[in-house]
Amino acid sequence: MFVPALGCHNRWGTRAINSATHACPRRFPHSSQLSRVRCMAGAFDWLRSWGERASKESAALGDALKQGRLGEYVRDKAKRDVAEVQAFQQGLMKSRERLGREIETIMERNAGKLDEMEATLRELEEALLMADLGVSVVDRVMEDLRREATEQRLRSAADIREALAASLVRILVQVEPDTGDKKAVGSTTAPAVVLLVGSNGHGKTTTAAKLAHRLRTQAQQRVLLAACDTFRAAAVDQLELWAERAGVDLVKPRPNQKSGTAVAFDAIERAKSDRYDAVVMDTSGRLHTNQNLMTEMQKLKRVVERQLQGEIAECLLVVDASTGRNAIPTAKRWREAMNITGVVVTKLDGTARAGFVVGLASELGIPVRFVGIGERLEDLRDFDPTAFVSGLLLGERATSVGASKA
Amino acid sequence: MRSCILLPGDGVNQRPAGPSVSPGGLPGGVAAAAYRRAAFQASCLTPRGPWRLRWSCGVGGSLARTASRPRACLGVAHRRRPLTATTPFLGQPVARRLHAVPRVRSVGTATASSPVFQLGMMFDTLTEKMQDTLRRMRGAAKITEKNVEATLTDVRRALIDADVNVKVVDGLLQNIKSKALNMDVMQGVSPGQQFIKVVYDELVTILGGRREQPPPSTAGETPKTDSAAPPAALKPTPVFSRFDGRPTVVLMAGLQGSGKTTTTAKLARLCKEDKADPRKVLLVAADVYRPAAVEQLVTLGAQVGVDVYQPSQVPSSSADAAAATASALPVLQHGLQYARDHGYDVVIVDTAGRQVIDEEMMQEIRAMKQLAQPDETLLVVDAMIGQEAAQVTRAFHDAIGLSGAVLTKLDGDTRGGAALSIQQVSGAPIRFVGVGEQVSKLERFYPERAASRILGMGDVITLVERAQEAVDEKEAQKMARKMIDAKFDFDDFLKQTRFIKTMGSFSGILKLIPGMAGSVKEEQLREGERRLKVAESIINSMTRQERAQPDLLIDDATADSRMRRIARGSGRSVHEVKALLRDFRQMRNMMANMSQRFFGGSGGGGAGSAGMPGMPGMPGMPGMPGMPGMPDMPGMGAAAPGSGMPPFNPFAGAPSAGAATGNAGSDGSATSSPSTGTDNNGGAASGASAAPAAGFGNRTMRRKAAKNKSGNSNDSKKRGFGRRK
Repeated sequence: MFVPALGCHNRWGTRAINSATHACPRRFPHSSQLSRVRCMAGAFDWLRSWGERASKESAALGDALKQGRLGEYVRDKAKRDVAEVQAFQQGLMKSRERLGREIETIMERNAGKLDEMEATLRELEEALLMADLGVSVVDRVMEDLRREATEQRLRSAADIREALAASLVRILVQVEPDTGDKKAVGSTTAPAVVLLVGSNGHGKTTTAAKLAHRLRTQAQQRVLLAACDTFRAAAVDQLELWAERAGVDLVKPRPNQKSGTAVAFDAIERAKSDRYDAVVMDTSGRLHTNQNLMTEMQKLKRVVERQLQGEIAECLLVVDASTGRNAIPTAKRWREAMNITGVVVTKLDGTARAGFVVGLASELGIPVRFVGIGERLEDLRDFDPTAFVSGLLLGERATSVGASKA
Repeated sequence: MRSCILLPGDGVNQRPAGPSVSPGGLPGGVAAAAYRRAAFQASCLTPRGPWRLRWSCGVGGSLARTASRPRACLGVAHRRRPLTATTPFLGQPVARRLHAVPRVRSVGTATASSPVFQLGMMFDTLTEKMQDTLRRMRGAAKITEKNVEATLTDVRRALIDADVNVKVVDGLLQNIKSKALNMDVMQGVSPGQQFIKVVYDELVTILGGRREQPPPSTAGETPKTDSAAPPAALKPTPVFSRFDGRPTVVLMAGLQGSGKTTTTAKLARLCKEDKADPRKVLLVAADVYRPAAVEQLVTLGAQVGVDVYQPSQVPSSSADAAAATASALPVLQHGLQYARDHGYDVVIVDTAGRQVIDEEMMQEIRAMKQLAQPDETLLVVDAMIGQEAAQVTRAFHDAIGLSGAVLTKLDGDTRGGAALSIQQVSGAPIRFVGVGEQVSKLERFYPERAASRILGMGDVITLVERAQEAVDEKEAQKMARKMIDAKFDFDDFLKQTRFIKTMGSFSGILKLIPGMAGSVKEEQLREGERRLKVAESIINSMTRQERAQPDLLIDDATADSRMRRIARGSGRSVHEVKALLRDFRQMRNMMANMSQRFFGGSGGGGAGSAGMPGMPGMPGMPGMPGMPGMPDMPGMGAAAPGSGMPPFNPFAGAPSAGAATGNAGSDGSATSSPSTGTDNNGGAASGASAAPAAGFGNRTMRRKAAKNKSGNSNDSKKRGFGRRK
């Protein structure tokens, strides 16, 4: 029954996290369950927190300075930043190409006659609408631009582009999650649970596998996958294959076990008894309008939380990048029902630009946690607002510099 | 035409403008909004076949209206302003019929800020906004470029928010503009309504529009196909047939997660269970990439009872056996061969999902198309898709040439604007829509309905069809008779409840009613559904005798102990049982009343000759069962507004429609040239609403009854029920 996950021998080697959170007493690694939870919470914080990353960065810089290896550090940092942005951009390439090109054309056409700002802005508006940003977001952005225009700050195409990007990033950054460590409180014995929910066919199963893989390899966690999708034909088989590839353990429904909740229950039991750090739960897809299925999901969460005697760490809504404006009511409903902590945008490697992300941020204040940019296990990345926006708006050359500030 | 009937009785437009407070406590704004939307619906549908309109008054009408006002306020509202005021609408020329519209507008303004109204706005902004902006044009004789500018902007925003592609929207607006411009403003018709009708018509046209036009198909490539596409919309034959003995091949394509595999199975079921022409179907599982995709199709195939050709079936003797696990082509090739060898009629090929920029995969599907020479190439698209739809469609169309598309997951609240993009870009019609997770949930696509949906107008036709499917006419007749004789018992009640359930959830039904989407809170609906469930559980705990003779529980000596027993048996409190009984009694009294009033006071006897012709109408009736749970619901009186369950109070909807049948019954019958099949039911619906109408002894009805007695009766009956035999 118990198959040790690959890499579990290294479960406390969470150097990066420790330096960031100062929460994991390395001296007593096995004695304190609390520390494990904190590690877990730290993992999540680390995955998403800009502030802490910065503090980590400065600590590293400090180290480098002390050891007189500043040059090395800078080179290393530059390399890392470029790699990060490039990876992100690879996924966004196509969408960027199109919108970027559009904006470029608009700029060129109107170059030299920037006094005709209004016409330019109207064309820009069109281009933005085409990216599923939604009318209200576009209005907001255009308002920003117009204000800047009246203040005579937009003198060149580059100015407009930058102002546009800044405006979008502002919207996205404002919802960056605060790094309060509520997950560390409450429970002392429980694993961190990540629940993946969403509509049918948006990529929950794949994301579950990717996330498990990521937690195992990057955060050095012992991860347990739970196949709570008991409805869709062969969903369990699919996750089983993925789990094998990702090298993590899987809890499957027992024969004739038709309830996802029951599987979740079993998974938590096993995670508690076998001391897993994290449980990633794949659930069956459901439309947010289906009340009964939403109730079922609430029940699953309730059961899990009762068993954990605490809250689940994350409840992530998985949304296909090609989704349009319907992403907003969907997320809204999910937030009401399940109090989702964030969104995973999948299939960003296609032509879709996931403009709704900005809408989610501005209208609902829901942050994006991860983006899926490919079919491989490694293709789950942190969401980086700056990179996202520059990928969305700017040409290639402009970005690799601009985004590395992050 | 008749759908406008449902409006006048609304109780809102008849009240003088002013602070509109319906006695039930539900802000009048809802009703006003509902009214305007419904009026819009009416104006939209009018030219499009009268039979449909009759429906909308029969079922949709009574239901729609009910939502606007809790039952308790009925009497008040109607007595305040007799129905006669409304009846002139019926059967009048268009201009006069819609004359009431300006009156409504003032009400709308007064209540536009009510919270419930706003709730409704969430989904129905477009039509509302149009009305708002166009109100300014009231004085204008023509719609001009100038005064329509703001509205066009609103339309544009609304359409974009419904995920219609920006480019498509702009093209559409051009057409709309040129059509709307210089269109004479009809007397009494709000320019807004006229304008919305233009938008609606334009949407319908783009969506594949008139059914007479055969949608473009890939006929060129498959000359032997009897491309079932064009007539398919009309005839019940679906799907694909060819007569040369070779199997019809259908190739499914789409992005990942758009629902190809599920749709494949649903389509197989449709072909297999096609009543006109059942076919032997083979599914080919050519998605060799996604983990467990083949297993999924095998499972689904077993569910619908069709065979699935799997990669593992590729004969090991052939050189392709090894390749079959890594490439779809050999699977397809051998699958087609297998189908030919084993005499399958239809082969549906499920392919892997792919991104359109994945050149390798696109190449593969091109090769598959080449190899399979499919009769149909269907693009499967998630209805939630946004602006992306155009791009995706274009890419697939360029690569493999689509013959149609399937829109999936349309059971959510997405507006499905993608449909427009698909149609525009590829010229291929949307053939089917997926409306649920079960394998049976694949329906044909109707442009009119989609247009309604995109505009947030509801979908009366689908509602009626569902009712049609669910109802058993004989049963309904029997029940109607019982109602008239005041012999309606718990068994009947139970049947009615179940009828409603077969139509779907309350909210699902409600969404189809014009103007209703979003105007009633989800919680209210759920509460209503919960109450029905409670009622059912209580009734299930009754003995057969009790069910057949509800009096045993009402005025029998043993009533108390019976109630206690039932409460125990159903796990409910005695209080709940009593409440149910009280509601039931009220309902029955009401029915008795209405039959008396309607049939001239002679109760069952009089009804015998006069009322019976109307009986087939009872299919519309089933709106009833909502009743018992309702009357006693908190807030039904004047208490908490809207916490009751207004939408399924059939009585509220009835009076106007009833008046319609009686007073101006000629309207529906005369104007409609019912298409086959709808005739009977069409009349039926209005008859149905006619019956309960009588229950509300308002002045009109009494007057009418009196009129009937005074010798006019035969005539009016003939007019009223003429179309039904």
